[in-house]
Amino acid sequence: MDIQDKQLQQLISVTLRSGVLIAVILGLLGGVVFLSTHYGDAVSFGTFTGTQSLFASPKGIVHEAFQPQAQDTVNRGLAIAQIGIICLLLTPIIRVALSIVGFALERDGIYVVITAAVLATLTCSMLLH
Amino acid sequence: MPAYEFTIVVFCVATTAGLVGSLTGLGGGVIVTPALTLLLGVDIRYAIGASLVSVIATSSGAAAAYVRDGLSNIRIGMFLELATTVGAICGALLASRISTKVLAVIFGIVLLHSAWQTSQMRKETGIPVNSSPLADRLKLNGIYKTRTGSTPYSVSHPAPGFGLMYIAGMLSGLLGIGSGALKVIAMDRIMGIPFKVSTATSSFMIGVTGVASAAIYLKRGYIHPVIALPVMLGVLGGSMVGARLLPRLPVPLLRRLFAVVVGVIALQMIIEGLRGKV
Repeated sequence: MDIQDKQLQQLISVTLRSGVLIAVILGLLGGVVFLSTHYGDAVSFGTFTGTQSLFASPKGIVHEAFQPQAQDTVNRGLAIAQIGIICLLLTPIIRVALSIVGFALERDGIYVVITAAVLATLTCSMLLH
Repeated sequence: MPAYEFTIVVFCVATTAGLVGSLTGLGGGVIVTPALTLLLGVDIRYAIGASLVSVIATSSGAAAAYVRDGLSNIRIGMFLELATTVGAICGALLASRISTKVLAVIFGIVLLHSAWQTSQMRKETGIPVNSSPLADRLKLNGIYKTRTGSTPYSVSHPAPGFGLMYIAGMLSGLLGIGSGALKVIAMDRIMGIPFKVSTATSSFMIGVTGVASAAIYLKRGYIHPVIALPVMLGVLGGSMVGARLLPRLPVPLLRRLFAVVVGVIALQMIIEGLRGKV
């Protein structure tokens, strides 16, 4: 393995750790915001509400987290936590993208194609309903 | 249940699952889902959504270390991820089309198989295999570092391994698990990849496979922060503690012990599924 590869592996390693770290920090933050005001709320997950959930679309989540008139700290706290989770979900995708760069630097055509196909599959999964 | 109590209970259950998951090598995700559904009556779809998030977090944490150690083979991983990601999408799409009862039964069967597999004493084959022409073309063969030096290895049967990886990916998307056990079977037993490299590469692949179905889970409302958050934090914490304890514990004994416990949980999952109570 050459030096470029080593550096890239470092970068991949750092990306993966950051994703986990961001998810944990935002998760704790959001959890505290939610629990500090709504610790007594009754919660039950015996029935599934599915797509009616506010947390099913990135757009809805960002809206809940940042809308200025949000007096509803339930949704705000949970939306922050959900943003953390989405950051976590994005890191493996970034990892795949970085690997394409790595294989291109090594002039490894087959693997540029294979890795690009994996990235395309992941992109497809985001567009599916 | 009040939110704070629910959070604490789920966190404790997830921590235990993470601990047992890392000590047995089963992974926390496969244990947390039955715990949530059987103990707390959580709908299995919320449980698998939360479990998948925790699986991705644990995998990313572990993969970061493996990438540095140079144990995982990035080419093998990427080649096989072609199969696992497509499988994961199919699994996630299928998950919403079959009833939760059937999901519970399939979950139980997969869990039972994993428990049986990890309880078996692993024979270190160490027999070098002949590299296949396809593996040569794809440059899958590699070298891994041991204490005594570098050991080269070859890869055989890439095509059947690829096929089994599709199944592993599908189960991952269907049940929100990492499918580590099946991935290691494909690499270790079929493709003849050294066990250490198989485990490291499998762990490295789980995150990418998981994300392929997580996007679909997210849109379908399977990932709810009130449950996914304590599960993620608990499993992550539990498995980190487990990894620390691992060198100091009688692992073979623990594995057999836990295999029995997990086996009982798996049977209960199947029974509850058949009775239509999940």
